[in-house]
Amino acid sequence: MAAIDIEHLVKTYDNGYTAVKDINLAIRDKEFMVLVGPSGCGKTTTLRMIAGLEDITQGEIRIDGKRVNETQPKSRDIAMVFQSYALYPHMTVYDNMAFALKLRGEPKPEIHAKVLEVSRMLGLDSHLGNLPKALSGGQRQRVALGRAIVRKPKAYLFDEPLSNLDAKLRATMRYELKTMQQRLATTAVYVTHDQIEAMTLGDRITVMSVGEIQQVAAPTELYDRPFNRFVAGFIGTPAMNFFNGKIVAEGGALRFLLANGTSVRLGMAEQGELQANAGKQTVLGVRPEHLHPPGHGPAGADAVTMQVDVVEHMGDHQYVYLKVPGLSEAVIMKAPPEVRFAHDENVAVHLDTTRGHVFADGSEHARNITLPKGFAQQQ
Amino acid sequence: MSASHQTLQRRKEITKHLLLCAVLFFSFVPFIMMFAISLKTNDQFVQNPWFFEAPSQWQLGNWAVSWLTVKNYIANSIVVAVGAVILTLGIALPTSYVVARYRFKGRELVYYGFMMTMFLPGGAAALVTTFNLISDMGLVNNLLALVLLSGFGGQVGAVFILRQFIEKIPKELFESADMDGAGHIRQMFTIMLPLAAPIIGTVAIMNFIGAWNDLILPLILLRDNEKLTIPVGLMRLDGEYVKIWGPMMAAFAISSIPLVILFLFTIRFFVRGLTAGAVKG
Repeated sequence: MAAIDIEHLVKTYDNGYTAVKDINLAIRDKEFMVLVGPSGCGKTTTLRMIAGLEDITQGEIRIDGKRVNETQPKSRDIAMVFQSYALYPHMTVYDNMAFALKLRGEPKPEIHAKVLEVSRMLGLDSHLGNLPKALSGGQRQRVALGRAIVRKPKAYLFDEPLSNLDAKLRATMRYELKTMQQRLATTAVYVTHDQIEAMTLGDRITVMSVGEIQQVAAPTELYDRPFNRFVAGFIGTPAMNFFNGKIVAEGGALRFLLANGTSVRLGMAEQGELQANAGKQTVLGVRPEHLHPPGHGPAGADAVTMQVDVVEHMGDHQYVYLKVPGLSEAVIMKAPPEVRFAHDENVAVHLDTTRGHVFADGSEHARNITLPKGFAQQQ
Repeated sequence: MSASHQTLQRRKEITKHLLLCAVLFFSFVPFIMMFAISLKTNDQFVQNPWFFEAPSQWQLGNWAVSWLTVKNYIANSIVVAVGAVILTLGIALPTSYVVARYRFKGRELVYYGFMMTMFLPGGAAALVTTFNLISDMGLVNNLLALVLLSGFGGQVGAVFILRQFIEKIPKELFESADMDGAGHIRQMFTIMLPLAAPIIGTVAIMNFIGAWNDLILPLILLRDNEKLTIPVGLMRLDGEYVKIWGPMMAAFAISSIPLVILFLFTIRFFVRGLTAGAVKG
């Protein structure tokens, strides 16, 4: 069990490329922290620096308050589960799991007892004599997990451990990982580019982009109150809809004027800096589930006429891809399954702006100006 | 498929097999003749050089006589070849591990500098300097000289082959071992050696054969008959005026047996090593 503190961490490679730019992060004891972001955002590099597999250019990493910058990976007492599982192909499942314990010089009976206990827990006890090549993807993943668990480390590091599995197995393993972590009550840092994994597994999520932390928060907080446009667009499937336009004040109320001339009332409970940005080019963000077909929206929500392009039936709901006359943006609406849509049909779509966000400008990392002043980027 | 097409295919197959059999036969002719002659007296050889005599006429004593002559040479060759292989791998393996796994400033310079020595003139061109060096070290007429020369001479080729293979071992395996608590030596023995076994076997066999068959260096460095290795020893059996064919061929046959045994036991390694990485596993 350990807290991991990262302060002003920088990683610059020999070729001059800076993968991690001055990040600060406090991972609490027994917390499941997920680092999420697109490829090249620096999440894996950060994880590898915590592991000690990558040199630190600047800054400091502390595990349980102790600086580990110069500590060898083997001396940090943390276990890592790799994306490729990294099972030793020439060793049996038993030997794979016992390897670290043997190196520690633990007595054979103790090693045997620990391996048996963990293998039973993971349902691997009947495969202990097999080589990894004889196992399925899910079983290999479990061995990798077992190899980490058997060491009883201070913290677990996971580097996209589910990305090689098929969708069904991934969902099962997600559940197993979460229950395992709750049972072991140990700090875990989990890297993924899959925001569903991040949302379902993390106690807190760190969203990273271009080597910087964009926001650190609990999954629901991240979803409901994204710090900037990047977080808003990255978290949520399908992604949030963005409309370019500007804030205008009309009769004491703030409205958002779209580029095609239609406007909608900005009904956010937290008005943040909206007033101060009136007249400026901004971006309105509304999630697909906050767009409603006629008759399904909240009372008072303004409608924008949109044209139905494609409908995807998902069973309990449907995604409607819409085109907005006069706008270049494609829009997605999550609609109830019973509503019927026809191709090219014009629909008055209600925008529930009480759940929407306005971003300061059109840039990728534009700040969410509907958040209250002093809103903490890291919570 | 029509009957005529089938006949054509069959004829093609037969032709292919006949050709292969012919190649195989001509490859084995010298070997078979060596055995045939090793069982003859000189008179029998002159009268019938090509074919085996009737078993009752076989001169098995040729083999007994030759064994007494060549057993020393074989022992010396084994010492030199095994010593050379141990020395080659003992240095080439850690070197390959470092150049394959670690990124450090000047790594490529070190590696290619090392590789460049492959293009330096060796063999006859370096004989005088090599002899002087060994003489200065006081190792003339000493098997250790051959072990050192073969062992160090095999480094570059061995590192070249081993590095390619070790680089293909996923780095996560080493990193995982690192986190499990294994140091470099442990990683070399528990991760690299088992996974690179086929290529290590190949390098070992190639170096063994190289040291075993070397003629020039033992010829100039060894003096005493009891210290000769197989190639030089066999050469000396070739008398100046009279060739005693039977015992000479028996000696040749006996001295080829260790290599044949080695090859039979290691052929799987050898083929796997040579084709390693050729296709997706």
